[in-house]
This record gives sequence, C-alpha cells and structure tokens, in this order.
Amino acid sequence: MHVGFTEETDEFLSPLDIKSTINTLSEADLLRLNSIAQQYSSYCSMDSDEILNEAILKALIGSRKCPINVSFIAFIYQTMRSIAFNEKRKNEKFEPIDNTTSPLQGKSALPEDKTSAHQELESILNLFENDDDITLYLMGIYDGCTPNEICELGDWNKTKYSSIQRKLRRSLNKHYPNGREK
Amino acid sequence: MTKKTTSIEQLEKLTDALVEDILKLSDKEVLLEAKEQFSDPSEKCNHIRDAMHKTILHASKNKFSEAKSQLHSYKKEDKRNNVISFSHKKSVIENFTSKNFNLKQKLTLAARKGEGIQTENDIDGMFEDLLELGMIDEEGNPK
Repeated sequence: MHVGFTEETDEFLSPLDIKSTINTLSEADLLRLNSIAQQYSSYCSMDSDEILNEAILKALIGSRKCPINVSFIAFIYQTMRSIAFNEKRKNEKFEPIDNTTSPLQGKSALPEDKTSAHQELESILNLFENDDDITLYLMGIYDGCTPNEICELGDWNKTKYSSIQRKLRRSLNKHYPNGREK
Repeated sequence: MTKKTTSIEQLEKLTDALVEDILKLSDKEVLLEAKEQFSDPSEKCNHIRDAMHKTILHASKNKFSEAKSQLHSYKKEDKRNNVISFSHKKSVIENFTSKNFNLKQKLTLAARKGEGIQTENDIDGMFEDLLELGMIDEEGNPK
C-alpha cells in the first residue's frame, strides 16, 4: 500500500517511520499494546481498538509527535493514556478537590460521593475487602503513595509488591471483562 | 502521607499502576496472557494490525485532501495576487475602442444614453469578453 507521506524531521518519527515501525511490531508488542488499550478502555467509555487507533492516528497526523529516542510502544501507551484520561475527565461533570474524605473513610454526604469515579473506587475496594494485601495496596494507591512507600506500609519486597499488583490487575480483568465503565 | 487528590486522580493512579504491571510483563508472559484471553492470539494480532493499517490509510486520505485544499487555497491566493488593476483594464479597453471606429462610436452613443461602459463591473465584463474572444491574454496584451 502506498502512502503519500513525505514529511521528515530529525527529532521525531515521520509518518513513514511510524508506518514502517508498525510493520515491524512483533506479536508480543501488538498484544501488549492491546492489553494496555484494554486497561484504558476499562477506565473510560472508549473501546480498546478505538483508543489504540486514535493514538496511532494522532502520531500519524502529528498532533502527538514521537521523539526518535523514545520507544514507539512507550509513546503509544502515553498517547493512549492521555486520550483515555481526557475522555474520562470530559465525562465526569462534577469533581471537587477534597482531602477531608477518601473512599477509605466511610460514607459521607459530600457531593463527591455522587460522582461515578468515587463509586468506582468504592466498588473496587469492596471487591477485595477479604484480601488484606490488595486492600492495603489500593489504600496506598488511592492515597498517592509511591511503590516504595506501599512496600514500606506492607513490609513487602519488590517481588511481593509486583505479585499483588498483578493479582489485582488479573482479578479486575476477570471481574470486569467488558470494562468498569460499561 | 495522604495527598490532596480527587476520585478521578485516584482512579488515574490505579490505572497507571495496572498499566505499569503490563509494561513489566516479559514478551513470553504477554503471549501467555493472550492465550488465556483469545482462542487464537495470532488472529487477534492480524486484527490489530489490520485496524492500524486502516488508520494509516485514513490518515493518508486526510493528508491528501488537506494537501488538495491547500493547493486550492494557494491557487486562489495566487489568482488574487495576479489581479489586473481596474485602470489597466480600462486602458486595455480604451486601446481597443480607439482602434475600432465603429465600436468607439457605438460606445459613445451608449454612454450618452447612460448605457455601455459606465461602472467597474462593465469594465470587468468587457475585459472578460475580450479575454474569452481570445483578443487579449490574461495580462491584457493584444494577441
């Protein structure tokens, strides 16, 4: 297939570079991108194919430029992240900043409780109420802790942290096969 | 340790953490997970690649129509820049009429009646007529 792109720059991948990079992606690369797209799709109302191809389109038309020193996978996942997060924020009408409550502090009558994001956080927590490790991990994430801080909280090493993180992801995928937004 | 965050930001952090886990997977682990999810991961890959190619095609079509519209605007702009001044058009027409006695007489008569070449539009119209008849070129030079 001939594509009439001719633009080239020294700092960013040209559309032609992007096209040839796509052709060289391995099965593992494609499936990894698909898996990441599914994760973002779970988070917002877009389909995984839609998110992935929107990211590719942005790269091709130049609204997001891929620096030549950045891996294409990393660039595409960052672009998908931005697409999904923007989509979610666009759909979440009212979300005041409030540090007096958190989903971990019980129910409150603040307007924040009415947002779907807050309900989503609570549903996820409730799902793992019998799993102390995952609950602690989620508490750490919700509180904005770094991985090191979460490890300190749970007295975990990096391997334990990674296995809890993986268990959480796989459980969520199984529990919400069509995404948490759908 | 608690930071000022909204529910959306908390969900974003969770999503980042879940994606971070996918990035940490080895290629082998990615393929193993895909086998659990899809009956034929290779078919899924073909589907992803096909969709990407469709996106490339879509982008190239957009690029083509964008280039086409840019060319159109350029031509329009170029034409506008090459517009012949009203006074030049007038002098081209006067040059013609002065050489043709009959035409000059007819125009003088028409002018007395308040007709003929009176306005800028009349000049433009007559210039276009001369051009269409092949009597002058686009710059108003006699052929």
